[in-house]
Amino acid sequence: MDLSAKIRNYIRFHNWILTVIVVVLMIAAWHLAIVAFDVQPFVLPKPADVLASVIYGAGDFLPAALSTTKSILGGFLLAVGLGVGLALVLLSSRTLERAFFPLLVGAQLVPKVALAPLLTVWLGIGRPTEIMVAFLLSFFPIVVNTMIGIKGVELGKLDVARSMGAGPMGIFIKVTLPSALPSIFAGMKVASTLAVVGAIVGEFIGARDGLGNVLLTANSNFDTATMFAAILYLTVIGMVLFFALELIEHFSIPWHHSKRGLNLTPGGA
Amino acid sequence: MPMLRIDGRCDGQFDGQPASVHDRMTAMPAQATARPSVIIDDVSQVYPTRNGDYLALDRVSLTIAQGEFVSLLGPSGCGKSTLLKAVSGLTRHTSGRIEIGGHPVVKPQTDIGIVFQEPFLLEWRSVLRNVMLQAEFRKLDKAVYTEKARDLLERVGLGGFLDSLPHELSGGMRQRAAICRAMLHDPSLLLMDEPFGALDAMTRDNLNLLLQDIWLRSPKTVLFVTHGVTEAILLSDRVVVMSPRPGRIAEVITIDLPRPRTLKLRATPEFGRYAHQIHEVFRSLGVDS
Repeated sequence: MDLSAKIRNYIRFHNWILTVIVVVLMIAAWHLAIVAFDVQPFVLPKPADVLASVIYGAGDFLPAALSTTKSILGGFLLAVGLGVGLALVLLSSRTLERAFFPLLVGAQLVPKVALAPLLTVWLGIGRPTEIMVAFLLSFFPIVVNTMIGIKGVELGKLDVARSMGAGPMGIFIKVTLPSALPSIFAGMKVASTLAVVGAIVGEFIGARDGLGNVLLTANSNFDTATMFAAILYLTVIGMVLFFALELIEHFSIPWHHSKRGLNLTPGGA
Repeated sequence: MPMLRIDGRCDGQFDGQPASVHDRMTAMPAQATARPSVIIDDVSQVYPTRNGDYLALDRVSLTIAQGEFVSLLGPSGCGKSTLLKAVSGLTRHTSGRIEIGGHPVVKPQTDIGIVFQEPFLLEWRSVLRNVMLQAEFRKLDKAVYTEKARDLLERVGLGGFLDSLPHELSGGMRQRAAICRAMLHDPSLLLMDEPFGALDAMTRDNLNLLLQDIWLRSPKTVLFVTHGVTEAILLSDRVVVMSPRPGRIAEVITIDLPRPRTLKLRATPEFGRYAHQIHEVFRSLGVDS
């Protein structure tokens, strides 16, 4: 094999190389477009200016990012706990499920971002409201996916377990829950991206810190480079959360992953 | 097999008291030393549907002796799987009485082994740990039964796949693992619901012989649901031919062929006569088979 064939072969099995090349090309195009058309910095900053803002503004960004991360995680973990819990309660009885599931679907139709101002009336400005908006946005996909996962367990598996004298708790732990895990993880991944959105919306309506606050302040100063940097920080937080979930999923349900390979596609936003 | 007795209909004489089981025993021919393993007495199953009640089983009675291999054979919709599920206790029959080993079936039976058409293995467990699920739920000694599970898997040719996950195996191998799981606790009754129905013909032949081999080594009562005439004759002491809508026992045919039976046996005139006899029953019922 000559060198170019070797490189081509390497790239075929390492798709991320192509992604990196595309990103580099896009950044180059971005820079060239600004130079060529003489775009004003407050409309679109140069990539280098954004990078400078990311690095030199780190002292301001990192505490803000930490604050935002707390709100994201707070809302997300609350949604996981209550979402899985509610799903289990609803599935414990046909009547409960039939009575409350339509309500749950109906509640999902309420644009939750619109509730944010109302929440400030009840919870005040700051962390509780941020957590609450993140929670409200990420709650539904977790409930629904958990229910789908648990209802999706093959009835034959339950019959087999019953014939072994297994009790309801044993069946749940050894058969139903593991069967539902892939679906629960799918719900959590969708929810993780929504929790980021929720936390930022919570910060937009008047928080004193967090990346949402940084964004709004920079916006009023026409400091576009800082806004870009803040968005970059936010994206990284969302990505870290998402990939952390991927990693946990990879190790907790390897039997599922082994069939489809590591899949890093975000479920939604 | 004279030790077995089939009642076409219920005569009402055994209702209620457990003592009636013994009455029935004594009513059997003298050489009947085996105790009845399963008694199905006047069992009906009705399913409510949108268009009214659907009669899936209509007063079916059948007695199976201990160690006997009985096939329920019939076209789809004849209630054979319904009957097997009722015997397993996983579903509750509408009327009539089912007893296993002298005890009435009123809840899911736990002293049996079940194999379905699909293996229903847990995807996240290795083959060995899937078989061991039986021991775990029954709280049986782990060391002893791990050894047993290995032996069983070895015997069905899965000795080299103990640590494989189900999706790494072929359909036939998965079904073999499911059979091992159903047999780990050495149940006296094995219920099999079209266990080889989803497999290709060659795999099916192999597993038929394997099942016969297992059954000959450790005799247990088997209730085997199938729609394969050949398979039913090859494996059974008796073939119970069922008719559809409502599910009834149309004919019970005793298969008097020496064991171990081989695939070559299928080409013999004796085998052909049994097959012909069964097809005649189907034809008289207006069922294509």
